Amino acid sequence: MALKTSKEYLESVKKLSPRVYCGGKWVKGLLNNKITRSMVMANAAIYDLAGDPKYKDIMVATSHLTGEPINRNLNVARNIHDLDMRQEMALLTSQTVGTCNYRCVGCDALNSLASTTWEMDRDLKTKYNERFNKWLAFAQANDLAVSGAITDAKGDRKKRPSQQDEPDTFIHLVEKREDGIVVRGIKVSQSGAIGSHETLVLPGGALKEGEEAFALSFAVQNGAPGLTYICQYNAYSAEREYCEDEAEIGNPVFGQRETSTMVFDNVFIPWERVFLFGETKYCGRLVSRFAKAHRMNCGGACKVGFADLIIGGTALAAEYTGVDKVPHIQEKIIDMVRLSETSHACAIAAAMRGREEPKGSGVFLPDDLFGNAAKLNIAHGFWEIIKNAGDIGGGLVVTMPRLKDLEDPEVGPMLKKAFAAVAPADKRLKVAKFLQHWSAGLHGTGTWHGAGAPQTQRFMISVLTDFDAKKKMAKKLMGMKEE
Amino acid sequence: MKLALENDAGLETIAVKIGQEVRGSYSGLGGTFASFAYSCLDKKTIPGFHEKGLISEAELNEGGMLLVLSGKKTESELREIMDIAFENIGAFPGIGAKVKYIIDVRSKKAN
Repeated sequence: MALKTSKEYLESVKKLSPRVYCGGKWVKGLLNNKITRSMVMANAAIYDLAGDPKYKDIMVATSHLTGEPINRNLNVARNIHDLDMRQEMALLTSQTVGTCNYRCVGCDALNSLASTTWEMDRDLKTKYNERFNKWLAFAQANDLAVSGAITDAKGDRKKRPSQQDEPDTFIHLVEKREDGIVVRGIKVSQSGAIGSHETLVLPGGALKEGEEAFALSFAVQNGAPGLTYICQYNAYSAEREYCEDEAEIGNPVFGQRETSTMVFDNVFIPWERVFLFGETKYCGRLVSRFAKAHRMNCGGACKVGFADLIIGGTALAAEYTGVDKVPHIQEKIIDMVRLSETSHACAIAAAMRGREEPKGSGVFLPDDLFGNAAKLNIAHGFWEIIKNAGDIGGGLVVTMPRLKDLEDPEVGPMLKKAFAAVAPADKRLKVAKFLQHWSAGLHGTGTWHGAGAPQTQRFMISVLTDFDAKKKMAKKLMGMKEE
Repeated sequence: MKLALENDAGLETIAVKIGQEVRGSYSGLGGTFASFAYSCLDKKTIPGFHEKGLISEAELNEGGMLLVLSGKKTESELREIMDIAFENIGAFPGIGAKVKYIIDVRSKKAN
């Protein structure tokens, strides 16, 4: 089986019993809990996209290991076209589910691992790449949903991992055995890990000599004993958990982005799943290559898909209240498109200027400067986009009554009278709820921090930009002599 | 590079013996048996079953492992437990490669 159907994915999830805690309860079956189900249903929709002939070019690739068709979420980019289709996949999946493609981080992590393990084997004569390729071929053959875990809990940010009072704030080695390693520690903000078959774990950042115990990368199975997932819980979680009808929620089926804190309590990882063990020198490269891929995809495509949905909802809100032809409303909607498409253009540029890294590895990664520009641009632009959505959607976006109240025999007629405009009240309220999901939800801060907070992109842009060359150009044009 | 999945791809097949017969086999990446054994011996749990007390006895032997589950369990219950256990550590029923390990699963109390 090279491509799973959504039905097959859902059947496989029914057999998984990860240790998941959500909103004060242990979850017995991911599909039996309204919150965890929304995450699983989003993953199922991604499997459906790969089976739709209309999206084959975007969603299906050819494995460089077996020559078989595979889901692009498990593909290693081997050329510019692969990079371009990868960012198009991020756009399409966001437009389709209005939340994470929960296989996205895993995809970028596996591309970074393909590149870095190849480099390690070349430099150190290790066998990591061979081992990684076996894992990848297995994942591809079974079309596994793979998430990625990068962000450690981190503790006191002034201290290095080994200096923390609580060592578990970073994933670290507990025991080296003949058959594998035992690890413990905490990864936070892990999108969709609960409903994935496996998670690729990478170090959270660059490490120095002496920090070998933290220099680990591996694949862990969803139900590995000792692994606990503690789900995020917020007002939107409570709304989904306690609502009478999920149809009244802003994104009824797929929900907000669902993340969890992954706690590794002495988890055994066999050597066959270990892809970096103590090589501190390569941790920075592994993480920066992941970031390079993820900033193109998360920043310049995924969030653009979200923006498309917000723009659509905002245009409907304007139409339903009869202000769609008002010049300043039109101007604001055009601004939303400008902000969003500028980021997408950066993602396309990052793909088109991508290159093989390292030379000889066969792995293509996007251009770093354009990828960082895409992410930084959307981090700021997204707030502007949701501001305009709230502006045009009106106060109703946050003051609306419950959708279900329209059906109440007593207050329903009052509400229908109050909120009918060019469109009837139910349509207006439905759109207002949709815009509430985006503008008063988790996505503003999520977009800010996803793929790294903007300060990391500013740092990268400062490193990647040749300011001396720019000064030289300016001086030349001014006729100023070089000193 | 092309990997032929059932030859040099590093898969590992584990057979499950219930009573006198092999009742099923599971294939996963190399290290699947080690994951299962660590869970039973060190964590005292079966993968996918988080409560303690399900294992009455677990012991490595030459060809694999003897696993005795507590209480009175039918053959189909034992099979179901092993199905869930292997799915949770990334191994799937019978892909057909050569069996490397055998797990002898028994119920503490006979039926």
